[in-house]
Amino acid sequence: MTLESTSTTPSIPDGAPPPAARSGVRRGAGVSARILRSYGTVVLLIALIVIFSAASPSFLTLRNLQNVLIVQTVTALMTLGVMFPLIVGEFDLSVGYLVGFLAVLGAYLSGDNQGPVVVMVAMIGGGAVIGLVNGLLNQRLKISSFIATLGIGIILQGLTQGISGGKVLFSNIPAVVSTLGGGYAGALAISVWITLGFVAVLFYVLEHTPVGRSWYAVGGSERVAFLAGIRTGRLKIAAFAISGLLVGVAAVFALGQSGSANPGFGPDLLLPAYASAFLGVTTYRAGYYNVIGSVVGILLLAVGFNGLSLLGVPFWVQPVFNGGVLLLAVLVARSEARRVRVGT
Amino acid sequence: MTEPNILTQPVLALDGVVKVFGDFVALDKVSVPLAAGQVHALLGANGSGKSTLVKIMSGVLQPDGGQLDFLGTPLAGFGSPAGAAGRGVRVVHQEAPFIDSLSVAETVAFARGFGTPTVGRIPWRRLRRDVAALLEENDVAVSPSQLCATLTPADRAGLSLAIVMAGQSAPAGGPDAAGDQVRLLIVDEVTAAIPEAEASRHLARLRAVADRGVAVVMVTHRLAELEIADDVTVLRAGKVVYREDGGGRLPAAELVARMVGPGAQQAARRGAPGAAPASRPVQSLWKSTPAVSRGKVDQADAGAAPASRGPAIEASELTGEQLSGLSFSAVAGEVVGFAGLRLSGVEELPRILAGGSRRTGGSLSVAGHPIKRDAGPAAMVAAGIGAIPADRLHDGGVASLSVEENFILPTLGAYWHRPARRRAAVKGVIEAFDVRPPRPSALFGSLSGGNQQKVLLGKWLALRPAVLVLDDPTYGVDPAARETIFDAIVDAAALGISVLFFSTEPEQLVRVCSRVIVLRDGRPLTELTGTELTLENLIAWSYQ
Repeated sequence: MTLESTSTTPSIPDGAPPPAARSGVRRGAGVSARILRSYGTVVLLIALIVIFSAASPSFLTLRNLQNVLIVQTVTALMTLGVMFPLIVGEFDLSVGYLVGFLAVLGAYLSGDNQGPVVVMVAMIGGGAVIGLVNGLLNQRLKISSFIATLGIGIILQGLTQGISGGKVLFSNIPAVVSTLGGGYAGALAISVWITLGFVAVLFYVLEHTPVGRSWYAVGGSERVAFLAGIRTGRLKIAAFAISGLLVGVAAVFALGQSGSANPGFGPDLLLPAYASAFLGVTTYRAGYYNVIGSVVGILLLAVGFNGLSLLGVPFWVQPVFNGGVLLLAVLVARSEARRVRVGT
Repeated sequence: MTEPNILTQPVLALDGVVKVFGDFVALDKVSVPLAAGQVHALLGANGSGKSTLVKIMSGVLQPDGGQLDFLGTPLAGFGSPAGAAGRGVRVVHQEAPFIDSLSVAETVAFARGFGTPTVGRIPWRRLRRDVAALLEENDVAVSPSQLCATLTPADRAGLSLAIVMAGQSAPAGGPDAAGDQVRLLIVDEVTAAIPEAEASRHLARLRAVADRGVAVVMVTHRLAELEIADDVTVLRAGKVVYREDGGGRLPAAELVARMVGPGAQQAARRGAPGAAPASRPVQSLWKSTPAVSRGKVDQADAGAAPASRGPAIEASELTGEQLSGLSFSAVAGEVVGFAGLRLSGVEELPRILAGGSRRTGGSLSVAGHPIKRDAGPAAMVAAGIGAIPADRLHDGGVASLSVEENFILPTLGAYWHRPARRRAAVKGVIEAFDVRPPRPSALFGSLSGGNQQKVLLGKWLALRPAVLVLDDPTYGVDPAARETIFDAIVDAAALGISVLFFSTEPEQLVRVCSRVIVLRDGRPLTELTGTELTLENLIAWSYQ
């Protein structure tokens, strides 16, 4: 592919604020097309909010919006989790099974009269350790991440059934866990505040620190990064461990919000998490997995889900909507996203 | 060009350096002084020992004899690349390794440091300002926020030089720590990938580096670039055959004659076109394999006179990423060579003929049948073009499949449910080309480069193509297999196939081609034929 003209040459900000405002001053005709390409998902999100507000009186209410956000905390943390392996060019397919396993593990320890600290440390630390194992299998034993994480995921599924005995565990869930998951502090739920905190920290780390840029370098070309003196193996293992840790936090919220752990919970969350991360590639820094884009992706799918439910559409419309949005967003952003991979 | 240097001793003096690989003497008592502030051009044909010499100067290889004098200190060798780097030796390689998805500023930062701890905040403004200053200082016209993917080869060369020279703005001998100061810069054919017009800017950068008191070694193939060089060394067969320390400059033709050497001309001409090949692999292949041609083209019978229908292949005003209006034609039974530097179109043309890349304009026809612009590989095969790509394992054969499966890949339909016919055909290829090991079930990837190439040749020649396109077919191929390939080329031409031969080695082109088209900037620069087609002429035209 050739570059069309200087007006479309990507001046990707290295973590700086998006160039929409600047380019608006400098450039004329291409602006709307450019905004559509880089911020199409944002435009779509706003359009959906306007449409649903007009169509359903119960959409734009504090209670409904609070509900939309709190429901998405688990998906959001899992999306941020899968983003790390994606940035370094790997897959983590175990996250769905992992969140289910950790929730059941937490519920089992609660039922065993363990304190909230033990429960939460076991869940979050357990997630990090399993992520570390994924990374070691991939980097030290050289198993493709697709296979390694699938294998770990299947093992976890078995362990989930073993620990729970196939039953829903609900006894003695610590109050702290329930509060973290479902309690409110001000207008937003505590879990939403914590999720926003993770978003801010991860945004800073990924966009504004050398280690964050190193992760992107590894994803861009592992060999060149290695030759440039970057410890690619360690960075990849760390990416898997962070992924596991974030899934651990998601499991705490899931347990707290539902007050129980269902051994069938988890695998269904894998695809939405990946869909949000892929949607994120189309937004903010087109062509890269990024935190801001992923958050927009999560909100877009969440608002779509909530609004369509309020309108009373049949249940099967949801997945059709989600898949359609994903394909549409990638199509609209395609040229921008593809440019990143173009050599000279 | 520069004032006489204040330093009386050279930065690095190679003194009688010897390097032996097994029985092969790669460098035979090579002595070269590299002075501060001078650009030293290193010339030599492929296999002359240039690369070995560069590796010794950069610490990758250690000499087996002789010594290196570095600023007056005698050394047996640098010991390692790090050892050389510690003394201020820097190398800029032909392929600058950049990560396409990163910005220029980040690329510089990964090489030079972000100026902050691993988890500290990156000072983006300062970084961009410093990188912009560095680019400005080295005359590289790119923006720090530009993605590396959008850089031209000329920009890439400038950027890699800028990275190497970063932090060197203090005059030589200044306050910099000795290890940080660049004393010797080795530039390994960096301009090969740069269009001629942009190369002069890069040469000016090298001149500027030398003027800061650095000794610059420039490995080059372009004789025109010698303009900026102070000193010249010509290597041939591991020996210094000519050295020039400043002063007068030998004319380009004389330098070429020294690169080529006496006797090479006769040797290259040994298997002159028209001479009977030592073996007839293609004829024996055609006897043993059934004709499963998918082409519309009627094949000339073995030994029959070339068809009088007109050119076997005709291209007119071809344009593409590199090509800009290339026209040529070849008749049946002709071997036409193509030569040229990188970006001249010699990489793109074979890809277009194979159907792997699309041309953007112009027309192409095989035996009078026009080929559509969006024709893919299947259409090219159907039209009668068989193409062997330069990257054997990537584009040519499937490493994880057997020899037999690779062979029948383009003709699966013809052999479907006909195991006896298939076995006979595969056996025919193996015997005709002497493929080793002679097992149809051997994995393609386990074969040596030469034997892989024989299988691919057999695969395409069994189709009785009208046109055979060979892109650097002897790359990574042992000498014996190389002879088989040359025999196959001559034999294929004798059987009425039109062969288009792309090679980076002029000796091969002179040896098998009846004429050679030299490309430059996507167009034919000249066409050498008959008595004009000599090694000297070809090298002079290709490298000038």
